[in-house]
Amino acid sequence: MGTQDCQRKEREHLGFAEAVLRHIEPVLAPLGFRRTEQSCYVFMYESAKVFLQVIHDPMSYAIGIEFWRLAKPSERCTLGGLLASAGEYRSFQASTPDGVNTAIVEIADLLRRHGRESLTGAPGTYERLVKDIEARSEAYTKEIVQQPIRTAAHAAWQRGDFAKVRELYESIDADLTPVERKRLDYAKSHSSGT
Amino acid sequence: MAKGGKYARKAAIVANRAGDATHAADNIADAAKVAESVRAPNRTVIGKFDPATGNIRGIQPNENSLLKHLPDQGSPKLNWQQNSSVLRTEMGKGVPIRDAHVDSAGRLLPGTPDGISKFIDAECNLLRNHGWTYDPKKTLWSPPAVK
Repeated sequence: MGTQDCQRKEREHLGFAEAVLRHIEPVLAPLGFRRTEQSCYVFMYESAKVFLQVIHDPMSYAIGIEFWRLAKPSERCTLGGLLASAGEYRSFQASTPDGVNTAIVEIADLLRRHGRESLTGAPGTYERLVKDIEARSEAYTKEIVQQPIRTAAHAAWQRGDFAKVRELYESIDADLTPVERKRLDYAKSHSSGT
Repeated sequence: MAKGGKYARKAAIVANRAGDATHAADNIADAAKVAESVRAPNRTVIGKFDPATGNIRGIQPNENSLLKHLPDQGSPKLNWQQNSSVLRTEMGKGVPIRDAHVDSAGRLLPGTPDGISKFIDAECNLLRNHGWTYDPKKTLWSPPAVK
């Protein structure tokens, strides 16, 4: 799979491949990584313990890194997740040659500063990263699942349908805000079935 | 091994084939039909493109994509316009859509920082803004009339 396979030659002109070779590969090579595949969308590397992909997303033009241990469980992590776990939130997106190069330079620097433990497969590192991913997923999913319930409960509150308010808020009882808790208490005292 | 052409057709959306239209029947609120759609072949899937396979990561047999409808338009903005348009068309069928960008417990993985593509988050927002709800047990997005 070479760059010549890329459907749109325009992507090759962005210089993703050249930037990865120039800036990221020198960070990975000393850690035992060797390149296994490359295209204008992804570079794949593998060490004795870790598999890694540098990705320029074909649709969103986001640039990022995924990596996972070869040994099971092969928890899949991202550079963005690694940084988020360190309290630093960064994402990269570029659709111009200068933008791509700037992003890759920054990513290489972040890898150099934050990635050593992960890239060498250090014990405990992946377990910690995965716990953080699970926590983010839990919060994200909960927000998505509960938002329609909160919206419906708010609408029911505004029209004075306290039975509905009670039903809806009780379904997310453990996650109610203080205001929602007060509304639930009020709804309980003003609806039948208490 | 994925070919470059597949990359260029990458999409955050995977979708039905023409046969799926039969599932977009009139009585989508009917619980039995919902159950049927959950088991249905050729179901629409959204998720993250996998450069290693040239397809959506986690896509199952009998699930299909609309990758062919999502050629690279040359910029993230144009790609999102195309992507969102295709997703809205798919949503218009009123059939549940599976989300493959999830963990083993069915929890959604945010597009950032744990998925690289912001389109994943944008797709979730598009679905939510149109009243679709997500069920972690089935990993399905369902339209407002279907619960």
